[in-house]
Amino acid sequence: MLTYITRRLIMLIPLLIGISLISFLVIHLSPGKPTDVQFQFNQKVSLEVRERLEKLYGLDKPVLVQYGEWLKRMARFDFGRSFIDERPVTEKIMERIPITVTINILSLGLIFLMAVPIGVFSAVKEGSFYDRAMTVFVFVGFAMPTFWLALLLMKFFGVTLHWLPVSGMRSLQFEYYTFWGKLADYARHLCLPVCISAFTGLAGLSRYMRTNMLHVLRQDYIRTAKAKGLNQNRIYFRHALKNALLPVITILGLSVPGLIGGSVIFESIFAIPGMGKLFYDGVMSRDYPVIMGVLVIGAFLTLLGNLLADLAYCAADPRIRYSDEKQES
Amino acid sequence: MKKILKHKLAVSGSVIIIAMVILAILAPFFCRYSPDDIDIGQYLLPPSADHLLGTDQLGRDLFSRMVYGARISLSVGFISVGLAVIIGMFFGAIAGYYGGITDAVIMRFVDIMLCFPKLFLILALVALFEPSIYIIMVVIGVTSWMGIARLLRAEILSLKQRDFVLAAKACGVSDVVIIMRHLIPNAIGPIIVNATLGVAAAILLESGLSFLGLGVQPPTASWGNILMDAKFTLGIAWWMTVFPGVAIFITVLGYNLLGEGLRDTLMARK
Amino acid sequence: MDKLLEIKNLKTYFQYEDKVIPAVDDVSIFIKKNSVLGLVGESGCGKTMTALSITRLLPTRDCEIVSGEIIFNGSNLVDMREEDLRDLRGRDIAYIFQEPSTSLNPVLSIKEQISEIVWLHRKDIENSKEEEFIIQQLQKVGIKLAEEKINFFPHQLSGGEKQRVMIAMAMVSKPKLIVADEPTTALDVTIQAQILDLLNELKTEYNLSILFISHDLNVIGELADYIAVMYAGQIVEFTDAKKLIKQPQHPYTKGLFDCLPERQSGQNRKLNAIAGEVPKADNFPQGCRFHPRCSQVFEKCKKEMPSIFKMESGQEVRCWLYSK
Repeated sequence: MLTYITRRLIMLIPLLIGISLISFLVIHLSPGKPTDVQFQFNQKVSLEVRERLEKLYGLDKPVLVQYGEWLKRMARFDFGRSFIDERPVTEKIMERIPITVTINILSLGLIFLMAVPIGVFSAVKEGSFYDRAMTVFVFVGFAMPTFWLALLLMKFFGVTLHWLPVSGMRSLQFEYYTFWGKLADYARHLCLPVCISAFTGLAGLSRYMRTNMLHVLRQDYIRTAKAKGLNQNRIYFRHALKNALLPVITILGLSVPGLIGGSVIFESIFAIPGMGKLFYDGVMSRDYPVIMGVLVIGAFLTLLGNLLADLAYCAADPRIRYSDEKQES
Repeated sequence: MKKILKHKLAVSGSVIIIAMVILAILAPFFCRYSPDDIDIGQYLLPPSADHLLGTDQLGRDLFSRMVYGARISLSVGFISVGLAVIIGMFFGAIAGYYGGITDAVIMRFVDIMLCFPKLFLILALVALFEPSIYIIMVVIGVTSWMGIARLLRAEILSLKQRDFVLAAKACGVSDVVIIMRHLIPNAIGPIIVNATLGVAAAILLESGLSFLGLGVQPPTASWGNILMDAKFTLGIAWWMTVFPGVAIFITVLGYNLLGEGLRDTLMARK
Repeated sequence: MDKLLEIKNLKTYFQYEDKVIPAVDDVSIFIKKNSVLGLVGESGCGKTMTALSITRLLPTRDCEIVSGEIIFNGSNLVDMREEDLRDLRGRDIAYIFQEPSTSLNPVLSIKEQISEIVWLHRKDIENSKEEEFIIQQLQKVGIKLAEEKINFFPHQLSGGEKQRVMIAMAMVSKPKLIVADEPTTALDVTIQAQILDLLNELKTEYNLSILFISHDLNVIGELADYIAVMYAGQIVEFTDAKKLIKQPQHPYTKGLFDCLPERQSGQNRKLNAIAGEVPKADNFPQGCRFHPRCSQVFEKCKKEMPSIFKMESGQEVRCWLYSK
């Protein structure tokens, strides 16, 4: 297992270099370069912005030097200062990350808790009414525009029923609440964003879970389990589920970039001060240091998510956990 | 029995898509009003015989705007996916066919592209240029090709050792011809499926971007930016919220249904 | 006659929307107590489906027993309730499958997989003694360092060891009948012999009955007291092992023997094979299913399907040559 982890960590190096290269490329697309025709028509990007960018990224130096400096910046997590309020970008991002990560972890948890039973029961009852209903649900889930769903739910639970707040993270009177009151206040504010963020991933994962479970149920060892005289429940939950769950760990890891990206949409709809909202505001005001910072850190978070998922997979799958002991093949 | 049902999916998907395409192409024949006609006196009218789907906050006919919005959604869907297919097939074919270092470099590049949250990358690019429908198409295209590249590469890897390819090689047929004539046609099924589902994803993306105000810019109508306006009339004008959302939903559903139907029919044969 | 298991006119069909595939078509065989029945035939002839039909382990919903009886210890398994049948599985009838590497659950340790059966079928063993018992079982099937390997996962064992674990699992409940479906096919030749020896030992020690399935006449010949030859879903010859080996009757059986290298006569030792292809189950030929490949075919074979004829020697053969 140690060798696996080591190999996995080594594999990160080319990815990190790639991230630096692509983000560097993106900077170079930035407006105000002499070759950029758009610049001449573009009122929003003034000469002043161009000068600041030039100073920040050293755009007047040779390309290699520029890239070297960019690498140095990335290594130090130094993305310069925001054009808007002159605060260091890293600082701005760091105070937003916990919010976005919390929401994403909550919605990942929710997705997992719901998708697994939905998928498993669909597979076990393949072809039943329930299974068909779930297939319909999956199609609906795939086709539903998240932001529209958000609007509808805001309207229904917020405006019509007044059950849930429609924006922000906390109420005005937040300071006066007890600890539990504060927690409840957070919960009420995060309820809709988390549910909507979960809904996007739910359809995909439950469908994946169903396919997996069906695949596992056709395996030889399930027949062995049946031949032992075990009852259906034990076959499903002891023999099949564990095998069907293993690949889901990887999928959860792979869904991280989608969730982080999706945070732009629901954080700006619900006015939640997370990384997505910061990015959205940055894009709206063409605050390039913020945009570049969030872009790179978003990629780092994705890498981190994938890495965690791989490590979890290692720990869960005995075939990898004990792979060092047997040096065959 | 199952097969018919699966075909039914494909058929109902195609019906939706064809209806949408006809509506979009023949837009002027269906609309009594121009989508950009502002009539302040007629603002936020509920659906009626005169204005089928009501009017928006500037008194523009919602039905007309929706029909013209269909043009936007469909063209963004087709063109961005077309771009993604071209880029993806190019990289996928080269990686799969030549293998070795070329393959390693291209596939690492794919991995790296997938590290960036797609929406972040798209928005960063949109911020660098100015949002317009063309930029949106290009940006969605250049951030959506990775799946197709992986797919084609895998297919070519399994195909290139087959007899007919080896025979063609032995006859001295050039690499380009082998790829274009022998490999890609044999791998086209999964690509079509992927592209069909990709159109659905692109339409969702475009509407999302337009909803954020970073996609198709007003006054050009798009389903997404009608919904952006609807955000401000939430609770006053339900028709502004409901109809564009339903339109997006149904269109995306249509492509997904077709994609799944094609998956069952095109890919089951193997 | 002491029949432990008797299968009468068993038909197990795959039923898809538009076609019916007779995987097992009118099979009648029996296994006497303390004896080994060898079921031999080419792959795809329905051997495995016959074996799985016994305790209804059939793979999918599309596949079911259409008619026939399976009498085990006096009761008919075909119309037995699922719960009762489940009780029988693993307790009275245990299975050993062909692929030991896919037949063991990759994410459960050996101990976990064996203790399930102990817990289910051996209530007489106390919890505290369980581990000791499992180690004994593993030792009995010839696994060395059993104390250590009990905590291993399947991928840490060799192919032979995995099959030994499968056998140990089957033996836990001291079953009356073991169904061994090509248990040695996936293994190396040397290990094959070891496993066969092991089965032979266990058979004498525990008075087991075994339904031994193989495509390999040599393997069957070593172990079986009776042999049934299967072709295209049907039994074509069923008889005492010694008689069959000495004097095969059905042209197909003869053909199988001719394929064995050591049976071929001295000078021109080229490998014989039965001409033609194994017919597909969705497209069996009219009349006798073997007739397109048969060297002794005559008109009647092409039109009518032969029934089973019992010869004076007691041999049962499905062939028109033996109709009187």
